[in-house]
Amino acid sequence: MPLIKIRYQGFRNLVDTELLFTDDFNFIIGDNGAGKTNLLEAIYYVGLASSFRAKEEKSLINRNCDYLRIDAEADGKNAAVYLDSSRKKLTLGGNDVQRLGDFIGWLGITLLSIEDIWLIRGSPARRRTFLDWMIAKLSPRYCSTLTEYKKIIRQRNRALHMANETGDRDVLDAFDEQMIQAGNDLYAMREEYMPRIKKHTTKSGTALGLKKLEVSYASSCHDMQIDRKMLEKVRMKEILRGHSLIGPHRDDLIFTLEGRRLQDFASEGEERSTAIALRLAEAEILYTQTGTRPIMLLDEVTAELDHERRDAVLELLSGQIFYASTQLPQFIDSLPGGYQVLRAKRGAFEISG
Amino acid sequence: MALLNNLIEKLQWLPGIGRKTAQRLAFFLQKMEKARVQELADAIVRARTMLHECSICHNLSEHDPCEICRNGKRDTDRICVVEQPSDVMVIERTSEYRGTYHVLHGVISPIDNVGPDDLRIRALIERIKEHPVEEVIIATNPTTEGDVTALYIAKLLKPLGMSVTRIARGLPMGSDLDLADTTTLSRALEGRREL
Ligand SMILES: Nc1ncnc2c1ncn2[C@@H]1O[C@H](COP(=O)(O)OP(=O)(O)OP(=O)(O)O)[C@@H](O)[C@H]1O
Ligand SMILES: [Mg+2]
Ligand SMILES: [Zn+2]
Repeated sequence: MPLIKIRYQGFRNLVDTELLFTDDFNFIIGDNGAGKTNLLEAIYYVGLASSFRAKEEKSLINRNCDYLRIDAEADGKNAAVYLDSSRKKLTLGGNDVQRLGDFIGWLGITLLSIEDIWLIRGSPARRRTFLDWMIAKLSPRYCSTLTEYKKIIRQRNRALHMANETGDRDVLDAFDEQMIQAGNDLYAMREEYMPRIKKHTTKSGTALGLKKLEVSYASSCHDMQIDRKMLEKVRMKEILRGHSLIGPHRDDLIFTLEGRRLQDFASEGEERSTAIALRLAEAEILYTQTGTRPIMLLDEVTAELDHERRDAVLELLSGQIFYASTQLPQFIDSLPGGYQVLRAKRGAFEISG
Repeated sequence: MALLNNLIEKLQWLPGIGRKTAQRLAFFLQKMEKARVQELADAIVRARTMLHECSICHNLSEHDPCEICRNGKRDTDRICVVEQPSDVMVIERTSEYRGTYHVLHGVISPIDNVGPDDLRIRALIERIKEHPVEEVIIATNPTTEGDVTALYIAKLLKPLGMSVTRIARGLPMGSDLDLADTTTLSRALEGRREL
């Protein structure tokens, strides 16, 4: 579903304005620090009510402003996000939305960024975040269960400390019950999506020249299921460390190329391509489940790839695309569809094409 | 300005009151009739000094035992366990519940360093051991902490051999009992289920 219009106020270094987009390629071109990633981030933020890079949400607000507001319109739907130092407000079609899960489905978005290499190289948390977002975009229930689960784990970790100090296990037992319930809900939903993720990742991997790219789920719990017995087994260790050591929050995704673990031997290009394959798989799954193509945000994605891979990536893109780069790419001349160019300079955009 | 600043600072001791609101309240108080301000100040002090926890149900009251615990018409076979005194008010407004209460004054929340011993849980167990009841209805809020507190209490009560029920989760997610309108609450009370 293409994004038609965005209007923002007080967002990072962007100069307050309204922008119209084309349904095909939107090139965002400009020097370092011009505001290219900020524009992608603004689109992402009004779509998913989160940032893909801000550690502190407040850093999104322009240094000289008290609040930010973004309005967006896509295919008859409109949404807005408001943020100031004390509150955040989401609206869909003019109505307030209370829960994140009810908001984030409104505009399908997949982001491909040069930072995605960390999906492969980084800690398991990065891969879990990928998985969680992918499913959350499709399932409000997953989103709310995840929020709940995270809260339970935070409380439970403190309860482990308390159990260590007081020797009283009853509070911990109560949290166990909650954790098992929410944890198994998450497991069931992850299990439901994994086959699709596997299938589409291998498929886009092949198109990108990766032989037999496979992704599998590495669970800290046997059979993606958590129960009282498992928790009993790790109880002493957990109490000593004050951390919840098993459950959906400790799992990982493993990548292999022709049966060998990718993290152990792959070249940088292969790691990047794997990350792209994963993102494209997400876009495909969003498309097959919702029936509309997600918009694709590309931030310097092809910069580090060789020609062949770059062409392969471009070949695989479809739907509305936002392509941020310091230079206008050469393939622009051979584009079959329409495009427009947004030249970025100190947070403002000049549109041509 | 020192007097004014002092007032603004102290108003911020209250929950949900930030600097801006405190300023507005402070200036508003200056415009009020002196007698009215005195009335307000007296009400605050009187409530704080005259209200005590009822030694039976731990609700706030100027009498001990409280009006509800002393009322011979209440059904003493049933205890409804709530988080705060304000929850008692909300449930009383439905006029549908005729049993007694037990106020915990909080919920188990390890992150906030609140454990069972910081609540009136032990008092509840003692109370029931002394005067056995037929049913304990746990009406803590449907939050992570409210649920955990309910589970914790249920586990302690089960061996004492009474029915332990949880108020049905008909309440909108994340909303507190405080905000529940009386019809949803009546429905929640009717639909309570065994824990
Ligand atoms: N809250 C804020 N208020 C004002 N300016 C900000 C804020 N946050 C970030 N900036 C500025 O925005 C500028 C542009 O950032 P952005 O990441 O969009 O650049 P870019 O065009 O993607 O550059 P690059 O090519 O280096 O990736 C930075 O110079 C940064 O200092
Ligand atoms: Mg950038
Ligand atoms: Zn009482």
